[in-house]
Amino acid sequence: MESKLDNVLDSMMQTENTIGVLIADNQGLSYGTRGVANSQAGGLITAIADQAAKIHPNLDAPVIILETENTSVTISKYGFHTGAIYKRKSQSKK
Amino acid sequence: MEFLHSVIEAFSNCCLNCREEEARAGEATERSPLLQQQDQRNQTLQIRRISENNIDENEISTSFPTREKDEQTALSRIVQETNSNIIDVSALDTHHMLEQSEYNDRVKLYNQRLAQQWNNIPVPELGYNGLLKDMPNPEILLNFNPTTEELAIAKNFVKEAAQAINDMKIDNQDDLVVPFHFK
Amino acid sequence: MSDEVKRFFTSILNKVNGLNCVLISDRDGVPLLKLSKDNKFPELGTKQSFLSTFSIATVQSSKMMLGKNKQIILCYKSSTIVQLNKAPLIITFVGTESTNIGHLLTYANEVDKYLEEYKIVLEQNLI
Repeated sequence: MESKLDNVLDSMMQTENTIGVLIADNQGLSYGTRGVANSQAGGLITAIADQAAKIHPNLDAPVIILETENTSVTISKYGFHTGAIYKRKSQSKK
Repeated sequence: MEFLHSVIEAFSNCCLNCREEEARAGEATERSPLLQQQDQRNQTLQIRRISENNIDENEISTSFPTREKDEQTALSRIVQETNSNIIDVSALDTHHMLEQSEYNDRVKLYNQRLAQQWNNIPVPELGYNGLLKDMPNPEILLNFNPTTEELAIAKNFVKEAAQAINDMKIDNQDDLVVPFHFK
Repeated sequence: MSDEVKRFFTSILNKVNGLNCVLISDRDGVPLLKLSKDNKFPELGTKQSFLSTFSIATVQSSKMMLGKNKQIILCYKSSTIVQLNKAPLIITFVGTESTNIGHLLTYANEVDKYLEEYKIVLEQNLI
C-alpha cells in the first residue's frame, strides 16, 4: 500500500548529508518520517509552509530553508502535501 | 439452585440495566480508575487465597458455605467486569441531557468558584520558546545561499512523495471481520 | 492565573491555521471557559449535548484493547473538531475543514499545566 512512498523516503535519505525527511498532509498530519525527523513536527512544518505561501498567494509555494549552525531544514510544498528535508551542513560550504 | 438463580439474576441485571452500568463504568474510568482497580485486584487475590486455604485444610464441611459465597462474589465480579468491558452501542443513543436550569446553575457555580480560585494557584513558568532564541553568528548563515540544485531536489522530493501518496490504495489482506481476543 | 490560561489558549487560536474556538467544559458539557477568534461560537461543536457525547465516546473507545483514549478528531464537511480527554475536563477545539490538526496536537501536551485550577473547581463540586 505505502511501499511507493517508503521508496521515495528511503531514496531521499540516501542523498548526501541528509539526516531526516518528513512528509505531511494539509492538516499537518505526518504520512511518513525517516531519520531525525519527528512526526510531531509535521504540524509546525505545514504551518510554516502555509504562512510563507501567503506572502505571494498568486505564485507557487516557496521553498523555505531554516538554518542553524550545524543543520538545515528545507521545507517545500506541492499541492496538498508538505515535505521537509533535514540536512547536516557539509564543511566545504562554509 | 440458589447459586444458579443469582447467576441468572446477575446476567439479566447486566442486560436490563445497561445504561446504569454504563454510567457507573464511566464514573469508574473517569474519576478513580487506579484505586478501584487496585482494590479489585486485592479482593480477588484474597478470594483466591481463602479458597486455597480451604482446600489445604480439608475443612470442606465447615467452609462450604463461605466458599460458595466467595465463588458467588467472584462470579458476580467477573460478570460486572465483563459488562463494563462491553462496548454497548445501544446505550450511546440514550445519554442524559442536562436540564436548562441545571445547566445555568452549573455555569454560575463554576464562574463563582473560578473567581475565588484565581489568585491561589501559581502561574506556570514559561521559558521563551522561539526559533530565533540562540543565534550567535548570523553572518555565517547569511553568507551562504542555497543552490538551485538543492531547491530542485527539495521540490522534486515533495512532488514524488505527493504522487506516491495519491497512488496509495488499500490492499485487502485480512478478513473483513476479525475476532477480538480478550485477555 | 486565569489571565495566563486565557492568554495561552488565545495564543493557540492565533497560531493554528483555521482554528476558531476553544472550550473547556466538564464531562456533561457545561463550559468553564469559552474563547473564540471573533466572539462567534459555531452551533456545531459547542452545544452541551454534543460535548457530553464525547465523554461516552471516550469511555467506549477505551475498551478496544488499545489503551485509554486520549483524544478524538472529528472531520466534517465544513469543520474539524478535536476533543482532548483531560478527565474530569474536556477540551474542545473547533475549526474549519482545513485546520492544521498536527500543529494543534503539538500543543495538546502543554495544555495540562494550565488546567489545575479548573480541575480544583470541579473537585469541589463533586464533594
